[in-house]
Amino acid sequence: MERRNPYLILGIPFGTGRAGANAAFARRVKSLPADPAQARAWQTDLTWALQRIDAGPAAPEAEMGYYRMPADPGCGAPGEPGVFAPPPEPGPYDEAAVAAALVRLRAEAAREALRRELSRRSAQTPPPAP
Amino acid sequence: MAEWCRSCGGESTGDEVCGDCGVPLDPPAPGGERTVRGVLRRRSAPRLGGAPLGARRAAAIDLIAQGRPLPAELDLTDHEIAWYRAHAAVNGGDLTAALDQMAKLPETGYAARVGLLLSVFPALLATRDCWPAAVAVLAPFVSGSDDAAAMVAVLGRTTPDVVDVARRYAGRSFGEGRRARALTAYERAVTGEADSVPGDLVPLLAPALLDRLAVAGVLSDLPDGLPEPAATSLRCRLGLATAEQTAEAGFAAEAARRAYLTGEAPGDRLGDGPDVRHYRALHDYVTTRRLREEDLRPGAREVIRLTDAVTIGFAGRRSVPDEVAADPTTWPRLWPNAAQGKLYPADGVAQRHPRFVLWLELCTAYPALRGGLWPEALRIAGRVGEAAQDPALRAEARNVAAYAYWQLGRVDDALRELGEAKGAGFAVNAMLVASSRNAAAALPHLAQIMRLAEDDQLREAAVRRVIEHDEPSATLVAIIRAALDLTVDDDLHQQLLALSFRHDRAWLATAPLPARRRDDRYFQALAAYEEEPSTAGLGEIAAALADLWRRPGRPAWVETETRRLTAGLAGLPETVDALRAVETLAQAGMLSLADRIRYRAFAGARQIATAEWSPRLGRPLPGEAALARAVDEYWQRSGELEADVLATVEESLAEDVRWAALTIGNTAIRFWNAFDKRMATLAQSAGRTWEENQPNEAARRQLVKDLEAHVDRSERLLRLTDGLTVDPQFRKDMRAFHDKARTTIPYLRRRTV
Repeated sequence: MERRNPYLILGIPFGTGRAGANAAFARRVKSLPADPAQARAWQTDLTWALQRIDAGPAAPEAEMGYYRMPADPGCGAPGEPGVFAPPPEPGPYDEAAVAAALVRLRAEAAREALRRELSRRSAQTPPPAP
Repeated sequence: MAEWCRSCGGESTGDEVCGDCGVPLDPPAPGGERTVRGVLRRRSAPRLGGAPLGARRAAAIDLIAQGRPLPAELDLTDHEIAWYRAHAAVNGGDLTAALDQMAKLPETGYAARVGLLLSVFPALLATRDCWPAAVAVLAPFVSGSDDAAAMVAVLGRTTPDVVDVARRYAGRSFGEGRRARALTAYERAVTGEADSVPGDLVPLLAPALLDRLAVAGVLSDLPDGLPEPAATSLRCRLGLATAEQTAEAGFAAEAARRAYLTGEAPGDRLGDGPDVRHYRALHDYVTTRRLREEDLRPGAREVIRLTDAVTIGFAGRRSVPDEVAADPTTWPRLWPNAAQGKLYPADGVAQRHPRFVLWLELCTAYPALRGGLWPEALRIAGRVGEAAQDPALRAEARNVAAYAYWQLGRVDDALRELGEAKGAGFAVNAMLVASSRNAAAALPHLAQIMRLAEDDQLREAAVRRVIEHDEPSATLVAIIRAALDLTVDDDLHQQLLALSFRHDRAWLATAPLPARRRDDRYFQALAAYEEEPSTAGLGEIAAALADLWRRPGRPAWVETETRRLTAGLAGLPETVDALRAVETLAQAGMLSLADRIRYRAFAGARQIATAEWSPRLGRPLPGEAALARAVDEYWQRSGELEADVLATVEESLAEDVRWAALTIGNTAIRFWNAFDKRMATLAQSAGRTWEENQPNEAARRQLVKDLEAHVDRSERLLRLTDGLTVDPQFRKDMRAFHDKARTTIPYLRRRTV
């Protein structure tokens, strides 16, 4: 089992595509250590990592060979809506229809209240004398 | 009302006589039944008119109650009598009659009718037919009686001021009725005082109000029973409709959002409105990093611009402002820079967005992991894990800790950290950690991946890992069963079937596999055949395999299985009749010329040797026909066979034909040997007269025919040996028998005529 992690070596989140891996490789190669031996070792690691990502499945979701960091595709961020994951767009609503429906609901609630109150008072009201 | 005029219905002025009509205000005299009996018994009709008014009124009430006619001498007005009748009808539960009588009262008189109807309001409410009449008799009192106004508001249905009436009569909040609660819940949700409307109240809201709630973002599910087209419209608003439905229903913004979320640019058919342009610009930015600020919505524009500034590559460190920290969907884009320690929260962000700061801190664990600084990584992960309230961040912190533990060789600790997290990614990590101990330890985690994976490719990758395991275990069996339910490619499915056949044959034989494929049929037939007792024949296996064979681009394993099946034919127990399987394989073109000749002859001879044959069948066994076809094909096409193949084919064919001829010849000889004895037996049971003896004669003739059929069959089989390498002595002996039989049969036939 390969314990080295190409994503970790390149400093990119698990699931980054090949383009992202190439960009990370280019960035990292520019900042190699000054010590030539150390720089060579780093470059070997980076090259290995890039090759592994290139050789992996086209869809990173199917990759089973490397430890996933982050394990969650959202990079550990809470899965709430925002600019890049917008919530549903409900569209505009018909204000007149809403107003009319609200009037109806109020009237129904009023009638319901009246029914309850009338029933309550009825129970306390004997028939008047003839 | 203390006193009022029963004669005209007017209100009392406090005098003894009605100010309107001049009739005394005497109420009906007390005494009821006694009163009317006394009045009617002691006074004749002419004298009744002289009785006190109170007594007459009481008499009228009692007579009405008894259903008796009222004498004119009671001298009461029609209105008064109508009132007493209405009262009596109410007491008798007849609301229709009561309202009929009330309709006869003067419009504004007899205000006591309001109290009378209020006393029976529940019954009135339950009798919808009476509502219009009740409204008519109550309407004149609406302005002077809250009870009347309330009843008219309830029964009238069109009262415009019902809300005011209810507030006056029942209080401002409308009480605790379901509609009142629905109204309150709706208003609280729309104004942001509540997050949602309780589920039991949602069905009371009209579609327009549900739309409004969806727009406010406080409705997440579609209520049951909502009619069309309101249901489709609401489904679109909630993001529950398909992309097609959403676009067709005219929700361009939602359709554009759906396209963006699936990684596609919103199409032209959605138009070019500002919402669609926003999503096109967002898609461009996410896929190409091209920032078209002018098309983005103002709110998103600033967030994306600020995010971009801390996402691009830069030297040194940059602060993350509030706008970015407040939007968790920007965080994953920050990850590469955050993992390099290049980002820090701007002033005050730590206080305002503590979750973001914890997330940022966890990102600093990655350089530690990369550098192999395991204790440092564990320290960061531990701190974030303890402080984080958010489950996703806490799980990710444990994921970091698990990796560090794994690298330290502490597999149990790593698995413990991963064990509590829910998600396919964590299960993949647990599988990797566990498999470093041994391959079998990974199996439960593979099962978990298959259960949790939302991505088909990951699920399939897990299945591919599963098929690498061949050590039988309950976990493996359970995984294979689950995997056979999945939609995976044909090769993988076949490998699962082969595994199931090896480890779970009894289940496979009868498993109701969903969307049964052709290879399912083959492996299930094979499993059923191999089970004890076998519930399928070789013919079913061959038929399933032939079906696969005919498939264009058949997989290689079908040919392997065909070779396996044919190679096994020769070793089958003698009791197994393989002829149907061989014929199926031969007709499907699955056998070579040599195999076709060889296996047909073998299976035919095997059937001849084991199956019962009787001349009374009237036809040869299928095995005899197969054997004849094999011999025919051998003579017609033996030139196509290579010399060495030809030799083995000829040898096996000759042996099978000789064996069959011997079997059949022996059968015929045994019949011949028993013939005399059978004839003698028949002769002993001959009838005494010609007529009585007819059945016996027929039996004897049949016996001769049977002998002839046996000899015919034996001769036919012996002819198949012609030209084949068969012992000449065997042929000579058989021919001698045939000659003897042929010579004798005409004589026997004559004897039985």
